[in-house]
Amino acid sequence: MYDVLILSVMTVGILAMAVFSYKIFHSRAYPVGMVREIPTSQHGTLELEDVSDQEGTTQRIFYSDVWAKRHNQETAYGLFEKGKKRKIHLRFYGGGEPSFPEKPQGSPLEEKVTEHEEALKVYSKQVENLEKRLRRLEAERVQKFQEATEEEKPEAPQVVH
Amino acid sequence: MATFDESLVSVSGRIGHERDFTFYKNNVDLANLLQKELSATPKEITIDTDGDIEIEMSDVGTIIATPSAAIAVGWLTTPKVLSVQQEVEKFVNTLDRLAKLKGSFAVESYSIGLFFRFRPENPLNLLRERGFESSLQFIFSEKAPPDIASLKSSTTRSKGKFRDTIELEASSKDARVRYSRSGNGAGFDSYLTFVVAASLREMLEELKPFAEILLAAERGLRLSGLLSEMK
Repeated sequence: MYDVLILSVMTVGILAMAVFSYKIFHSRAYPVGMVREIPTSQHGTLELEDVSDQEGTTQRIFYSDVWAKRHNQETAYGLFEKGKKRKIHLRFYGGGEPSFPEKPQGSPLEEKVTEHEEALKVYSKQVENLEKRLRRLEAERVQKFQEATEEEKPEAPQVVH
Repeated sequence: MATFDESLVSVSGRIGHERDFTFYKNNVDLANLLQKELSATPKEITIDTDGDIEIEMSDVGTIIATPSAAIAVGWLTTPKVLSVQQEVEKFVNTLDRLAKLKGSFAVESYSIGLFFRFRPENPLNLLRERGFESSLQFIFSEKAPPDIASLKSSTTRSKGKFRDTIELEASSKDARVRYSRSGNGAGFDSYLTFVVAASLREMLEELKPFAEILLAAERGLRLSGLLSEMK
């Protein structure tokens, strides 16, 4: 009895795979990929073009490399007709104007290096500001003292002819 | 009229140490501690927008605590006073105490600096006559501009265990000279040892000839001012 059950499950599985493979290779419709939910999002557009080779079966999809890397290589497909451009709507990060990051997200090590570089810039700026402040303090103190001393000096005696 | 020994000089000092990464978290507590432990009459204590602590002291100028340094700037005194060891020690001890109150951090550097401000009649022309004209002619190929708005020069040198920086800035209003001497923290047991070795007297002696020229020009300006008032 168990043999029959196992055999039937295997048969169903193999048939399902065969049907699914047929559908994928022979259909022009592709399921839309999942895009991560983001708390604040901005709808944007990404143009996809269907380019078929001479054999008429290969379809290439062009999309932004930066966008793809940003979403960890997840690809998105859209419904389109062969030989025509179609626009599909995708969601991606950020509010306001859609903008892609200048550098794609890299490994944790690369992120650490970037964080360190940013921290170094902030630190250098702080040091520079401190030096300027010290010079200004010093000069102001001396100037104030000199001007105060001048004001205290007695006036020159008036010569009466 | 002031001689060099009686002229006004501003002294600044710094003890640089390894960074205190908890400084900005604890700066309020530290500010309260400094106010309590330092001089009995600090005029004003503030925490600035960067999180650094600034204390206006009545006797040693302004002292500033940052994550990696204890700084005193603007102690107004005269070269004559600086020749008295006890007066210098008062300044040194205040800065030392500030550094210790911040915590036990390895000292990385020490420095001490002198700042003079002179107001002769025409500082730029005076400096041009005294040597900068040839530099301008060298740069501009004998066609040195007749009028300049400002002048800056900076020179560094190594002298034994020390690194000196001499800066000169001049405008139409004044001429400013900064002479600072710094040394590696590991080369000295304490800030006092550093300051004694740095020899403020030697630094002042080096600046004296140049300062006296500018002071003489200042005196000349004041004398002509007095004479014109008497007429």
